[in-house]
Formats: sequence, C-alpha cells, structure tokens
Amino acid sequence: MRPEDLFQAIGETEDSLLDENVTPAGHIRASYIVGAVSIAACTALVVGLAVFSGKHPADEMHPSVCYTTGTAAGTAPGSTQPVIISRTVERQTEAESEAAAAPEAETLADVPQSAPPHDSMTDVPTQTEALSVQETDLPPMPAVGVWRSLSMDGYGRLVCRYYVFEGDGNGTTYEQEDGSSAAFKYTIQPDEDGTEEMQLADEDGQNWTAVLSGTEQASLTLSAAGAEAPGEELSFLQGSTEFHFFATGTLCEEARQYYFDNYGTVPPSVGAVCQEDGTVLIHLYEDLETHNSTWAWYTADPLTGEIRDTEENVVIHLPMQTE
Amino acid sequence: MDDAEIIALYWKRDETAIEETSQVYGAYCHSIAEHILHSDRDAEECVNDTWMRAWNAMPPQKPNRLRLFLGKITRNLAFDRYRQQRAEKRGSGEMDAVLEELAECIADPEDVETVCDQRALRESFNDFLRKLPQRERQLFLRRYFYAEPVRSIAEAYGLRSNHTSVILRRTRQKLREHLKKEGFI
Repeated sequence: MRPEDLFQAIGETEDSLLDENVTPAGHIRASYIVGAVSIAACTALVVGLAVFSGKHPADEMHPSVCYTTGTAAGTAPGSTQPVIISRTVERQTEAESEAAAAPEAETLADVPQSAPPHDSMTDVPTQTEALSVQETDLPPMPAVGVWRSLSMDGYGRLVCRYYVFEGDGNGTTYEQEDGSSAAFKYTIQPDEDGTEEMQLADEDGQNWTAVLSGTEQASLTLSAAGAEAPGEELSFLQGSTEFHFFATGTLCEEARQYYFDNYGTVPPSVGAVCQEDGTVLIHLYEDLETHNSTWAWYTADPLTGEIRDTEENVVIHLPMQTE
Repeated sequence: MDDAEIIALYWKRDETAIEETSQVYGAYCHSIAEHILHSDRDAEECVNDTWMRAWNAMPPQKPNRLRLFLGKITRNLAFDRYRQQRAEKRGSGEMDAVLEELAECIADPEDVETVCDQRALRESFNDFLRKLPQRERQLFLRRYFYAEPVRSIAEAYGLRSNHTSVILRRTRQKLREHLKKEGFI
C-alpha cells in the first residue's frame, strides 16, 4: 500500500462523517452557534411538551432504545478520573502523558448491568448553590498559581484552558476539552519604559506578552507577538499550583453514563461548549437529519466534577471519588 | 437556491445549474483544490472540471448532499492533477507533507507491489473514523481529507499548532494499529 492509496480511501469517507465536519457550515457550526439562548428556548419547549404529556422529555421524544454509541463531541480521552495537576507531577514527557491518558471511552452499551448505579432521579440532592469556582486570596504579581483563559475559536466557540505558573519560569497549559498539556517558559522584566512585562514562549515557538504593571491582580491579557493569534484573557483561579479538573470529554461521558443508568437508553450524540463562567454546557441529543432532538441539558463544573440538570438546577451527579 | 432546486436544474439540462452551483459551492470547491494544488490557477481549472463532471453525472445521479458530492469530485480531480505534477517534479509543499504523514500509517510507503482492495480499505477506514471521538475525527479529516494546513486547523479549534500536531500524530498511530489489525499492513 502507498500513501496515495490511503489518501484515496480517505477521499471516500462516508458523507455522514464528513457532513459533521470541517468546512464552516453544517451541523457542527449550527449547533454551536445556536448558543445558550436557543438552548434555553429549546429546553423550555421540550420540557413544556413533557410537562403537558406528563412524561420525561426523553421518554416523550425518544421512546425507542438507541444502543448505538453514536459520536460524542468532546469525548476525547475520557476517564472518570479528574486531571490532577501538582508540583510533584512536574514536566511530563509525551510518553508519560499518553500513559496517563485514559483508555478509549467504553461503549455505553457494553456497560455491565451489575455496575453500581448512580443516584436515581428520586435521590437527587437538592442543593441550589451556585457552581463553585475555586477562588483564593490574590497573590502578588507575577502570580504563581493557576489561571484560567477563555478565548474564542474560529467558530465563535469559547475555548477554556488553564495556565499553571510554577514561579520558576516554567509553566504548563492544560486544555479543558481533553486535558492535554503543553509546556511554556516565561520571564518577567521591565521593558524600556520600566513597565513590568511578562514574556511567554510556548512550545510552538510563539511568543506572548502580558503587561503586568497597573493591571488588576485577578486578570491579565496575553497578547501574541504575531498578528494572527488573538489575545487571551486570563483570570486568576488559585494560588496553589496543585489543582484538578475534569476534562470536557470526561464530563460528557459521565453525563451519558448518568442518563443511561437512569433512563436505560444511551443518548446517541453529545455536544459540549464552555461557558463564560468556566462551566461546561452538555447537550445530549439525537441527530434526526432535519433537526437535533434534545434529550437533556446538563451544566458541569469542571473543577468539582458536579453535573447539574440545567432545567431543574439540581445536582444530578457527583464526581466519582478519587483516592 | 437550495440543493434540491439546483439538482432539478441539472435534471432539466438547464445550464444555469452550473452558474448556481458555482455561486453556492464555488468557494468551497476552490478551497479544496487550492489546499491540494497550492495554485490558484490550477484550483480554478479543477473547479471548472468539477462543474463539467457534475453536469455529466446528473442525471442519472441525484446526490443527497450536493456539497459533499461536489467536494469529493474536486478532491479526486485535484489529486489526479497533483500526481501528474509530481511526476513532472512540480509537487507542492502541503500535499507532500500530508502524504508523508500518511506514510507513517503504512508499513512500506514504497510498496507498489501489494495491491490493496480499495473497497475493503475504504470500509475499514470508515469504521476507524466512526470509532474516533468527534474532535479527533474532525481534525483528522480537515488534515487528510481537505489537506488543510495544521496552523489553520489549530486556529479554527482554538488549539496551538503543536497541540494539533500531537493529536494528529496520535490519531495516525491509532490508524496504523487499526490497519495492522485489519490486515492491510
């Protein structure tokens, strides 16, 4: 076989796989651009219909059992364990990172019936407090600790990543979506005007700058040296470099698992977007070609792993215990 | 004008079908050819050839997804042209890189003796894609279906180029394992 043969085989990719993909049109963009406003409206409509009929929305919309695994947006390396980050982890080699990554997500249809069930809906705790975001005392600039960046990608979706500044000129970024990491180095020094600046260089060889003097301690803006990449707004999360978060892929799998455990059907598709408060909005749905049919909306806190029913505003799933 | 209306024009043998197709899908097809050929002029010729192929194909064909139907024709035409150019030592950078990367997925890139069953390979590849998480699949197809530069893929997904390259490399490794397991390599 030659690479050309493989390239030609790729050219025969099924339309259904290609159609979800790539070009700035079609299902993916539409589903993301719809955004939270439409999400709320759709949810209200679905729930309204369900209330009218006295059934759970999912029962109403999808009485048939769907055991196809479907395609899960953001179900990249998903494990039920949070991504743990601390000073003791230090730099990870790529091999170590891969070893630490979870195995491929298990097919929900293969989940054994004897698996310990999650809380049923009747056991759902009724906490109504806001999702937690760990905030501690602000450190002096330059801030050692964890910062969160929210930036827009080319499709207008929010992308969340974490910056861990170690204090020794080294740092690491972690992607909320799949927990993958990349190292960077940074220096802090006064520029020609005496203004304190941070220079940050990532593994791509891209250079970023943040002006520190006179900026709020809780936020800073990283600007790319090149004109192409937009700046990133970083907000301070915590002073310790030891923290954990649940990657979006993990949260999506947890949400699907929860749904399966409680309703006995597997949502065929799941999509997720970061929101401005750092939470992740999870959409369980079925693609009916002409439209997406919603099964459930959940909001997950990536820092605690709590998953909340967006409509009912109750915690439906707590993160699995780690050691 | 929507797809059904455009297809209806082809079936009526109305030449405005090509004009309408060009308006709706011209930029899309051009970008596919441009990624593979790296030449605006070659890409334009390729797109014109696409309209001709479409004209000859409809009827009898009535594609469900006109965009992908045209995109695949463009990709095939552009790849044929690329191979012709490469034989004449006029290859272009991005496509060479794409093929080099794909070479990692197979046992012996120079092996022209083993005739592989393209149909079986196609089906196996589709199976592989279906099992990938959505984002990995999207990144993979942007790179190896549309031959899009890594940098622009990274920008579209809010990723760093390096991170995107790592994801692609891991996916290629998975593909290699899949092809090995399926007996293709």
